[in-house]
Amino acid sequence: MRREELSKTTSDCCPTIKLAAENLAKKWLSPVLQRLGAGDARGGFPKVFNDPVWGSIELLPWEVILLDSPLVQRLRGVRQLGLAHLVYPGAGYDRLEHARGVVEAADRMLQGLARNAKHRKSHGARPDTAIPEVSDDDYYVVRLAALLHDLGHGPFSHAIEPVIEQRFSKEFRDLGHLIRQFFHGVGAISVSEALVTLLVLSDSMDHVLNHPEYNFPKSKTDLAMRVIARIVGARSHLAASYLSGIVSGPVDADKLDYMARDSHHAGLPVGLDTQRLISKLEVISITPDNVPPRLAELRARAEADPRHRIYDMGISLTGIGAYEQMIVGRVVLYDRLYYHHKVRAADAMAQRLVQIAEDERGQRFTVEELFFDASDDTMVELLGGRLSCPEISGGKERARELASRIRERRLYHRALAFAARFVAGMDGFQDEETRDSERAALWRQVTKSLATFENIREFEKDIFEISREVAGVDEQLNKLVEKLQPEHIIVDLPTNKTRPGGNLLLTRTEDDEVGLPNLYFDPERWSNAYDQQKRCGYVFCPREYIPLISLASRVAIFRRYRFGITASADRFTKTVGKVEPAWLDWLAERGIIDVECHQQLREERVFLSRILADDIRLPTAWIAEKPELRKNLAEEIIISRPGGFVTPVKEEILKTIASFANFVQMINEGGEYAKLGGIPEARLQADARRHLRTQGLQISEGSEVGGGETDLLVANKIVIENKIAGETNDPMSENRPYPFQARRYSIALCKTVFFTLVAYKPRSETGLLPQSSSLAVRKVPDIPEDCLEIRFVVPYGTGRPSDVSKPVASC
Amino acid sequence: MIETYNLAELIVASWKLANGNERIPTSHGILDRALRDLIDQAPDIPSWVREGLTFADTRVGLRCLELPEILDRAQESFLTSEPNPTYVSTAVKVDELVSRRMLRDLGIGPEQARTWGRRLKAVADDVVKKDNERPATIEPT
Repeated sequence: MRREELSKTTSDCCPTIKLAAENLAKKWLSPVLQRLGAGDARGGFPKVFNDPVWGSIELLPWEVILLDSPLVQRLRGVRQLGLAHLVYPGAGYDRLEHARGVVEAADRMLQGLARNAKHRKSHGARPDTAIPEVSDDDYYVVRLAALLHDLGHGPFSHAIEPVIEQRFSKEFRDLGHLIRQFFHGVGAISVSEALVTLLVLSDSMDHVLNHPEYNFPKSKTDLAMRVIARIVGARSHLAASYLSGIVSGPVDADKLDYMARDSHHAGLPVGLDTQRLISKLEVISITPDNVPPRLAELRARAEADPRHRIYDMGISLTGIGAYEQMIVGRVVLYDRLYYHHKVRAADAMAQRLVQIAEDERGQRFTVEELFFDASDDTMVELLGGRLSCPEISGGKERARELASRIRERRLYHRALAFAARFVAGMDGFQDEETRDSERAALWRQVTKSLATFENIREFEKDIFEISREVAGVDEQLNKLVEKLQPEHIIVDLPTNKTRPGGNLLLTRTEDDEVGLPNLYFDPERWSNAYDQQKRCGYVFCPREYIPLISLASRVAIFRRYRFGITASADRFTKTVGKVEPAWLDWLAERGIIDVECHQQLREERVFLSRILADDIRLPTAWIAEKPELRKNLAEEIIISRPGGFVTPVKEEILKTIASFANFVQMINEGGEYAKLGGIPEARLQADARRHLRTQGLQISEGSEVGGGETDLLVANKIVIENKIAGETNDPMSENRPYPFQARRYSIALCKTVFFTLVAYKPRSETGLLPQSSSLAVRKVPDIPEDCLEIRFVVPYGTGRPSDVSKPVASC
Repeated sequence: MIETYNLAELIVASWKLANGNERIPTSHGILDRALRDLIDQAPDIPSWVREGLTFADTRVGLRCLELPEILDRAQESFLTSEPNPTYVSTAVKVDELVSRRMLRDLGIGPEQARTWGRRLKAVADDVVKKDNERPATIEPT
């Protein structure tokens, strides 16, 4: 496939990012074309650079031409580790340094593999004389790809990448599919790989690479395509296919350089044995006979090859230790460097700076603007509006304030940590399986709902609004909230990127059997690292707002996801005692938080539990009629309401179910409503209230506590709504608005479980429900939260008592 | 992004309903093959699942490109445990009721999901059986 064809197709499938890449390439490469046109690039000589990781690095003349262009020099201002230098002062090196390092790492890998290929041709149990040698052509292309591989990174490196990815997700996805069509063996494509593909594919790059003065010493045919193939890790466009993973693969020059360099500059030793690892890379010969069935595609490819053998890069069995060391080292770097809470705060502030600047200037940044050729530091000032230039206009006051915080290293602090392991109340569940399951049921809502920037912004907005609601708990907070701005709250929940990828590399036995290395890790180390860092979300804010935002975040999390945060989260973030228990009482007394929220946030130790079938007490006649009734009800409650209930609420729910069942049974039996043509809501409520009180329930009228006019309240916790459905054969499906949801009570009610008592007149004789169908549990439609309705129905106007013949046993 | 979470929930819930406490195979292309088969053979698979999964013949054979991320999201959402030391399998941490809840949120019936879960397991078992005859993994020296 030719460059022109791919270029044209990209214009159709990802027009925005393709056009942006063309524009950027034109801007960055025009000086190179001028130099080439003027003959200034003639007679170049290799350049040697000192390097802290590799000692010295040599770049070849045609590499230097590109190195000395704005295209590559732009990377000088892009810090490899984003804003990590604000935490690890030495970690401020740039992507240009890394790009040069990758050239050297690639060169050493090329030499190592060339040496191994030579040995494999003449030594060992089964010499393979057919192994192709590393040609100069492939050698130079790999090096060139190594130099260019990071061109797709924007300012602050990975901090801005997700912003671009989410904005153009469809275009990136389509481009990924397209690249896989054009290049064989390509896996997932990152945003930066996609962008560098478009830059190398650009017309300007084509003009450079095919310029008669561009002194690439070997074939220039499809040079851009060969470079792209190496950057995306394809196995096509190569004579020696075992070189395919050098720039992008499970052990690649990119990782070897950045791990060593990050570790060096941050001052975090990870024990990476680069030399050993490179020396243990092997050429793996794959034939139809030496692969196991699970690698069937490799066998098919070998069979299809005219020589009946193909080659790939693998690792010697004696090198797997060094490989494991690399993987473990990577996890350590993620834990201690990339996911350090302060690094995350700084990166999140940079992301937020982009968004605020966009808000203030009333326009989104284009890809061209985000890839403006300024250093990260200058970009902070441009986005903040402190500096301006014709090409990019930044934000105003709010952006300027945030930019100055980044510049002066006044980073946000953690007000709250939230993670699956910090979900409160889990010890109440009786066994580990239930505990894990309920934890997942609660936590999955968080991970899923905070998967996009839009949703995160919404959540931040919630916290901001709630801050205003709760600030009244304390005079100082009340003063503070007046200065609070939305951008003072940043929620950050990064996804795990430490995927080891241990099963993506081939190895071989002495007698040439091919397979995948069986890797061993210390599972505890892995899982601890995972738990401690990867699954932890933070709410960041300026230091002075910590008590307010800590309180508001807890309430926001509870309102959205219905769980509290354990005290260990406060110890983790060093915020113990920032939220005073009396504040929660104050909020509950005013109905700002509900009874479950109050319980869960107030108590040091909370115990949640499920409502089980055996907990539910119903008339024996109902159970006889439908033996599965209690099980079905319990299951429906569990399915509809994740996380179970705090004990006081659970007890009231169970008591109310039992008492209501008794009431309905009694009405049915006694025939009190049978002769009524209609029934006023007030009578239904009065009857229910009287009966429930006789059952020992503490019942009050909603109006007594400053809320609804007709509702009943159980133990000042749970609402009972009464409804007259009129004539219907399906009273369980009767949907009416639930006005109590909109009312504000001056007490802390349960907001997610309520009862309804619906009186209905069967439209026909067949419309009279069996007694065991007088009760149902359902998730309330049209309310976003997990709100559960427990509905009892009672008939009237049937002309006779219901068909229940036996007296009801006390339940 | 949200699609990846949905795929994680679908796979885990289907597996749980069909296979109880059996661990999910997570490495070396086993689940990749099972998913490929499911997409090819189960006509009732929703289009968002079909469109959300990409398969490629990589340097180590057939791989579902989204699967590593799907498995990560499953772990992050606490639906599965961390993989065991050799990354061969992972334990499902949600019970049947929570599985049914996830499926309900996705608009998928439990019986339908159970069928898919059985199919995934059957294909995975078949791969493992062949593997036992000629292992795909090699012990390091």
